[in-house]
Amino acid sequence: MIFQLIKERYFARILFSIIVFMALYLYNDRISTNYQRSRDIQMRMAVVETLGGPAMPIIAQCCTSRNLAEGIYARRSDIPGGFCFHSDCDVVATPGVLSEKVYRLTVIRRKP
Amino acid sequence: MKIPKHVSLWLMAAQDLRRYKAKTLAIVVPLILVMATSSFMMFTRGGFVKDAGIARAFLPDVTVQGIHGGRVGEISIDLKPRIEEIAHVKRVIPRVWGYLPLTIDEVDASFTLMGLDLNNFIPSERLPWAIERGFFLVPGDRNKAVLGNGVALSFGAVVGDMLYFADEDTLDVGDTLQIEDTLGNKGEFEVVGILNSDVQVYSTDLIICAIEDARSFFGYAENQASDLLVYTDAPENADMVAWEITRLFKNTRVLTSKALTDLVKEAFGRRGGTFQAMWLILLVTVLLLVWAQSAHISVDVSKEIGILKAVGWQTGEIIEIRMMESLIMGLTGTSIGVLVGFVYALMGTPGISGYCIGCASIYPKFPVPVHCDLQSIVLLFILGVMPLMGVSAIPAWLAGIIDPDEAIRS
Repeated sequence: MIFQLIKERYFARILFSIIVFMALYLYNDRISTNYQRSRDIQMRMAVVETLGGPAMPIIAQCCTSRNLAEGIYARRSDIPGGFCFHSDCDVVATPGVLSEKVYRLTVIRRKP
Repeated sequence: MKIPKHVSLWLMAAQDLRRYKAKTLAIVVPLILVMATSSFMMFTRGGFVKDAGIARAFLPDVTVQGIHGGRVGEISIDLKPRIEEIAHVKRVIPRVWGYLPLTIDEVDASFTLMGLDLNNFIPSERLPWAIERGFFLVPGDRNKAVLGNGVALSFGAVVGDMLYFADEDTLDVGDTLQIEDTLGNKGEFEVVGILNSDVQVYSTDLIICAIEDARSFFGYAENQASDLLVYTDAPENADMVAWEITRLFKNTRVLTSKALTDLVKEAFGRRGGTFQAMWLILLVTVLLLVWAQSAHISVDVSKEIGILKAVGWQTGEIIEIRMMESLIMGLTGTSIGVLVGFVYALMGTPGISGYCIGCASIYPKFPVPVHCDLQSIVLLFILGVMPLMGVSAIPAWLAGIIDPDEAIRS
């Protein structure tokens, strides 16, 4: 009965595509995106290490502030619209800045 | 519970799907489209996130910027020895960088000029692999630059050319380039190396030069830098050092490597979010289609169910066979869709790569990292199969409770 099921076309197709997909996944995970095995990743990381930052143009290119360390809104507020050339600018991401969490507001009441 | 019985039901469900090919294709094809859309976005995003995760080990533990009136600005290098005195700090490296807004062939673009302290930087031993032509900068180099592949291709520059910044209105793409940015900054660099296309994701718009040249180009004072890169003796001390810098120096912006990698995940999560919204609409459309197809039982199918029940089939078996039909369609559509999405992502999402990676039209196309993890695959299969099963449950039950006598007579 099991052999009959395996011979069945729908079952065989699904089984085949899942096996192919798992093979692709294993190749992708273990080889093509593994630092130890992938020369591409080693090269990319060499650039990151040398430059001291990821500096991805694709993140903040839409406002030309490609450095990840710089928030997009912060950059835009320097000169409104002055640095953004791209109509599809819709990614807004700002890093969690340690120093911005350190603040204190104390109210000193006027003594009657 | 006998397995052969369920196998027989599966076979019969598969036969039913083959018999009603048009109806099957009407559901499976849109499902393939939906799952392909979802998966290529998930895998592309996964690629960037995985790259960011790996990059964290190579980033400076803490990056310190100056704040002037609440805005990011230059930082004084005078802070460098004082930061080096903090416990667990191994090294502090200043860096000067800035943007070059340009217009090339009537397309607005921006390149980045990055100045490295060539006497005090960390050249990776694998860096030569990333150089396509020429060499990387060495200590003592002045007025020399290494270009990202995108810059080189945009200007048509080759090693040995002179890269001259002059008036952008008189930009002439050729061996000698004349560009001046909108702020009037000028500079002159000899191209000594060009980075290869495999590292474009991090370097396509980069012009790397000596820190002194960058300082001169942007008009920084001798004791100023864009930021200070702080390396600690162990990554677990990064937070402690960051807090100490925050405590000791006011008007500084302190970023840990975690903040930078989280930012990549956040940014690509939002890009992915737009596609997920689109994907959700498509999925709902497919589900409505499945509902419509399943709820409408044709006279032939009704008679068939009536005969099956007349010869002794139970209501549960009818429901099971209908559910199996949905399961087969869900697994088939999801499997093929995920495969199509994976291949499409590997091809660099042609046609919509501009939106996917947010890359300006001026930069030449470059490959994006693609990664599929087990979690994504499981999630895709759950999202592809479960809603389909859920939406088929009531129509399956309605088919199961058909009165055989009435169905056969109709």
